[in-house]
Amino acid sequence: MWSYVIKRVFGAVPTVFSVITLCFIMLQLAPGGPFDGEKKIAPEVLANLEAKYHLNEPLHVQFGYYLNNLLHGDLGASFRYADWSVNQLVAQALPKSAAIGGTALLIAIVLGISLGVIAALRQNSIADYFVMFLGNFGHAVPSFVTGPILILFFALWMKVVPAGGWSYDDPNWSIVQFALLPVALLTIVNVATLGRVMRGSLIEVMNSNFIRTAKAKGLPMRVIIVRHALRPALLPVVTLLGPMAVSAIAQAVVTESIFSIPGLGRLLVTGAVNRDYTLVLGLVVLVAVFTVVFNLIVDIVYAMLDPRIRY
Amino acid sequence: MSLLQVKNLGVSFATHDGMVNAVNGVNFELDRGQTLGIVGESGSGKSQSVLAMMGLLAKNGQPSGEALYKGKNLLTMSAKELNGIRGDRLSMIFQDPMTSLNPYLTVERQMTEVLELHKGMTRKQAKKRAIELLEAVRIPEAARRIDMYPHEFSGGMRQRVMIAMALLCEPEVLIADEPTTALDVTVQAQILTLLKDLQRDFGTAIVMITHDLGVVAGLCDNVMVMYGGRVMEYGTANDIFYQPSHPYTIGLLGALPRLDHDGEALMSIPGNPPNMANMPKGCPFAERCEHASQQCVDSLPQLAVSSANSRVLRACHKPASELIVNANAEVANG
Repeated sequence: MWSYVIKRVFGAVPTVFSVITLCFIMLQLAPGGPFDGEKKIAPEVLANLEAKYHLNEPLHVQFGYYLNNLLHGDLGASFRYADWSVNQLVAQALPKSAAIGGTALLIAIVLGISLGVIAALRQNSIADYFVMFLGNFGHAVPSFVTGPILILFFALWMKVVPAGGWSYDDPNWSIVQFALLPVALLTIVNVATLGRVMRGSLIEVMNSNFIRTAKAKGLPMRVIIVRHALRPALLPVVTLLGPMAVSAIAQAVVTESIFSIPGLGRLLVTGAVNRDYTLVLGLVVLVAVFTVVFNLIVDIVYAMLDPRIRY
Repeated sequence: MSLLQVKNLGVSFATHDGMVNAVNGVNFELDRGQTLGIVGESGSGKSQSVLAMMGLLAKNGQPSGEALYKGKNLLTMSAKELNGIRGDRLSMIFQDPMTSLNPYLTVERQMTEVLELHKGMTRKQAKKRAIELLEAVRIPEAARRIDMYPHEFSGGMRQRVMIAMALLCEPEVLIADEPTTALDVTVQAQILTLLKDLQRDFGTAIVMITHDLGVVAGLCDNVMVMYGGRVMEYGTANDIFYQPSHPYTIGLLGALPRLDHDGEALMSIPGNPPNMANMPKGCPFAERCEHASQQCVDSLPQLAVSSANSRVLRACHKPASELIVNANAEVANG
């Protein structure tokens, strides 16, 4: 097992490297530069700035500088926020995103799996239709529609939560209230996906031959579901969780924008708008690493669930 | 009272094309230590008959008639009552050993749960008993292999595990639904010998479903030949084999590959089984029967005692005597 993990980690190096290279090139190809703006900067100042950030050197040299810093765990300095390094920006944003995304993911897993199981076992009942409606709704209505509706309802009309933002020492709202709507929005989207997949896979498993064998043994339904059906039915759900975790934590762009939460997703948007090369690149590297790590976790969980998989 | 008494058993399915009657009017009795063979092509309703008895029909399936185990109707009892009988007094082996075992659980878990449930054994006692059974079905190194997962066994070994699992509680009736179909011929023979030995040792009554007449000949006391969801002929294995009196049975026997007929093409019954959703009003076999007359197309022959042999029941308008002569002639000419 451990040799497999180590192999996988090393195997991820080329992937992450390709992602970095591609993003580096693509960002350079995009028109405009980090110091373009409404206000013209004097040519001498610009030259100095470019020299400071090595922007006057050929592309491959710039790339070399970047990689070298990256190897030392330094994502570089932000072009836009002169006093900040990308590391500092990420360190500020990550806890917020992780708290919101992580909570939403946990709730979505518990809720999605439970609803999926109920729907599968009561196929074509009212409970099933309700779950399926919820699933389709969460899936079909984009979060940039659901989000503002939530704000309208709970923040503007009922005034039980703030409309957005994130503050630990706000006189009116606690941090839980700030988190409530964004967590709810992220949960809705993920519950929809998880519930639908869980329902489908459990229905399929319940129709399989080995469940028929379990019935023929005289086992009560509860034992059949818990001992025989749940584990295989969870496999497709587990597969989903890797990418889902990455997008809930590191790429909640829409949610964080709607609720003005200074998390990773919003950082990515502002970074892209500002042509903050190093910031965007740093975030992309982070997402790439997250993806690799979460997929590795998924693979390990997979092997724990399915005895036929041995690494 | 017979151990198992099946009276006028029917199975119908609600499908998009309306109600489909997959099984009609099946009757048989089974006593301790006896073996009944149910023979027929795919789709003849033989599997559905036994699945109905075990309460394992698909959701859209509905049984009718009676299947009495010691006088109690399996078809109408509560799930709880049925769960007390199936797996314990009445157990089943399925056709496909590759998919009938749970790939996510060890063989030990899948076997011990049966004993924990029906016999109230502890896990440890149950494991000991399970190892004994695995040894009885001749799985080498049973004590070590019991902790393995199904995918670590070959197809034949998995079917042995299935058989051992079905015999854990020493059931009075063992239903085997094509237990050898998915296996190599050599392994088939081993499994059949095994079943015969186990029946001798445990006194289990067996219902053997197969489309392989060779299996029936070696194992069964009585044979029921099914076609289109109906019983075509019923009798002792000897009578059915040596004096078949139904055109379908004769056709089936004629279609057996034989080692002494080299070079010739394999015999087959021309045509296909009828569509269950749209059954003819007459004899279901009439369309493919070389002896069919207008009467066969118009009216359904009832299962009745054969005029030529009182131990045989047959559903055919043609007098048995005519057909038996023909069969013997065919064998003589062949």
